[in-house]
Amino acid sequence: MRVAAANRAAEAAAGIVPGLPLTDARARLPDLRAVPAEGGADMEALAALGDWCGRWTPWVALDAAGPDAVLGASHGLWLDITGCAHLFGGEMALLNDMARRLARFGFAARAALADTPGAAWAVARHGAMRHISARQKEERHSEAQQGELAKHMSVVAPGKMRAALAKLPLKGLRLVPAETEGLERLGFRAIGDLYGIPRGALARRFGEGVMHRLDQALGREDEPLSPRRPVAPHRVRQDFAEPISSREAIAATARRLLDELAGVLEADALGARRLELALYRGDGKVERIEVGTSAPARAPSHLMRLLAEPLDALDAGFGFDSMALAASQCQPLAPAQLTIDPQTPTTAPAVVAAAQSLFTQEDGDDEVSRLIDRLGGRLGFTNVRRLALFPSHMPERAAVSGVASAPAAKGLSNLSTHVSHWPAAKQRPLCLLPRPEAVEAVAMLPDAPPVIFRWRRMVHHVAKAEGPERIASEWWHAEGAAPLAALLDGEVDSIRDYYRVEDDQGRRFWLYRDAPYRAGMAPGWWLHGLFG
Amino acid sequence: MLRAVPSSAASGSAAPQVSVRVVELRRRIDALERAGSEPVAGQRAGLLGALPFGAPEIDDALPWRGLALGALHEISGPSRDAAALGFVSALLARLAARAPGVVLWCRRRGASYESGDIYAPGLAAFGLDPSRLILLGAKQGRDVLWAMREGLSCPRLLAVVGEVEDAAVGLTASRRLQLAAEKSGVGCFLLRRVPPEGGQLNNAPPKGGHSNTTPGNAEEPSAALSRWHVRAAPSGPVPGLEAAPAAQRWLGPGRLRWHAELRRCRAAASREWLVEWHHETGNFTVAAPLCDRSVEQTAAGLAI
Repeated sequence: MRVAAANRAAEAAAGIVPGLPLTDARARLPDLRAVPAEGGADMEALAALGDWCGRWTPWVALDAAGPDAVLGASHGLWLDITGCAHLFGGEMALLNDMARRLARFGFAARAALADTPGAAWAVARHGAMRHISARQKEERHSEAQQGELAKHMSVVAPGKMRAALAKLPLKGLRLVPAETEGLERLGFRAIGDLYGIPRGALARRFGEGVMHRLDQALGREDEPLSPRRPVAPHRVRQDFAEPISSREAIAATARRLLDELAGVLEADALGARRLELALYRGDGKVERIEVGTSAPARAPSHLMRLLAEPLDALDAGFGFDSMALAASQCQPLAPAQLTIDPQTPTTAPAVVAAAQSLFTQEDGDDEVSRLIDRLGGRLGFTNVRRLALFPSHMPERAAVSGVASAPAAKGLSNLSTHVSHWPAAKQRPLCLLPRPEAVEAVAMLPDAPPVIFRWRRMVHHVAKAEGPERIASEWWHAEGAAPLAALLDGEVDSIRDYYRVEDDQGRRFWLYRDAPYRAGMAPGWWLHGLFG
Repeated sequence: MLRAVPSSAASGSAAPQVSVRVVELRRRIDALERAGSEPVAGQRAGLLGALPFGAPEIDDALPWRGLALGALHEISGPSRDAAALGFVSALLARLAARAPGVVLWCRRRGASYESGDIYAPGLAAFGLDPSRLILLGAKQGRDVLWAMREGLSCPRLLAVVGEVEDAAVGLTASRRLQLAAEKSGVGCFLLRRVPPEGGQLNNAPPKGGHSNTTPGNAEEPSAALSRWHVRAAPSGPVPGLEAAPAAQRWLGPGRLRWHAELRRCRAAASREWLVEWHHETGNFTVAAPLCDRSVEQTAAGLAI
């Protein structure tokens, strides 16, 4: 067993560093308190912290695949703050803000800012910054604290990576241990030692890996970071001087952000299909609200109605100190024409009607899709459905339903094979039971309609009946190959004789009998639907 | 607040002869008599006004010569059959033939086990294109009422239908619906399932005449403009075989018929009709009340 991580006190007192065997560590420090490492929990915590870092930039990547990832000692976070620093008053101010907030959580964090991820990685881990434990930091006064914290933060000026890295140890290059050892055996100690070596010589001995990392650190080679969460191109945010927690304040801010986002989207002729509102809590948690729309939309009032519902369910904790709104999924939406106000008083109502039908024809669809959004947002989009006919004789297959949030209200465009007319000769019930229900029925002859039947504990005397209409399962859904779902749905009775019957009260039912008739076996009767 | 119904019921088509002034007066009385305080009903209601049944006997008995749009109408029916559902589907089919728009149909998801799913081919048989329906499956009864109110705020809808099973809707909720319907001019149908008269376990349901004493629900206050109770009635003749002999039993159910009872309506007396639905023309007619009585009895006698 080895030490995976040690706090600064242990390191300072007895030189306990990650990688040391636990027995050695105990020998050095008998009252050492050791707990089993939980790599998974560490990663989760790091990921949660990474999400929370979304307050500074949406482009947050986890650095978990470093060379010493096995020991879990050197996990980190990448933050691509390109174009973000000015929002926080400059790079140093951003780093200070970061240090202050992270120290408040009790994290001992080191941060470096450089042109390339590689250089920042090296400076953050091996740069000349003093170590101060989180506890010590808290004890200091705030001004001194600021100064001390700044020592954990360093900014490498643009284009100065070469100088900044020259004195740092080779470990800062993110090499595999064998490469580091090999280089050290040859007498290389610092990164700067490699600057003067011809590329070919290094590549021959160590392969491309060393030069690759060096190039990345010095910016001669690109190193893309893949963000942990998809980065929305359209994002607006708002910071607060004081944490807010009242629903009204949150709603007002959300509304302001929506207004801002609408402007951004309109400039690009886009509409949002999915919105994500991230609320950053002061204690390092992030609350996220996601809403979807059935058609691209950017009208703030409409989107606000969608957001309003989940806002009620927020856990504000000690309050939010930053909010960001992103359109995580967009679709083209042409800028809207101003429509004639339908409330405009006009002398003749017919003129208003004509004007409406001319100008707001598409607006009507829009209103319906907004309604679908509101209904779906609260009750779930899968519960708002549209119906269509399907060309099949099997009653269970003749009707299909699709989610109504499919593009526009133009019928079920996502169900390609629907038909628009139903043959009048095939009379079908208005209500179809989800599963046929067994009834006790008495028929005079094996192939005659029932004269009396009992359904749900009530006896019905049949006054009129018509049938049978024989419906067999489609041959391409052969009985032998019936899928389990069809079996459970009762479709396995492949031939049915349907009767429309009416009882003496006028109630109309759709019954069927298992077919074909088998001598000596009482056929089963089932009730499948109700007519209007 | 009974109002004199024009005594031209016998002539059947009195509408063209009514002068402009009378129409205008009627509209003003309309506006006064509805539940809301707003003097002007929604824009659509002003244009479309009312949905006539197509049967002069019913239309003349109703103050708006049909069912007023932009208002709440409550239609109850026994929970064991789909009569009320059929009646509403017929009304929607008539409405859909006159105006564009989609229908929002709200129901509780669990209701399908009790009374079945709305079946698209069945709707198509009523002349209602299933693709003009948005079907909402709510988890709870109060979500149905919320969704209805939300739907009524969208004036582009043709109508809003809500199925409520047992829970009392109450005066407040129904008034909210009525006000929302008035504002947008969208027709609203509240479909209520009441336990069958005589109880669930009764094996011999009461024959013939009906009783007005549905327990509980009938007396519950409601802001609905009209309240109907619809029961199934023995069907009419099979289309094309009106002159068939007495062995009608084997021809099967014919034209759909319902006992439609107007239990309460502002400015109209409560009445009952035996209505017949003609799906070819999309019209209601009032059937002669005695036309099936003898057939029904012999058929029942045969069956037993």
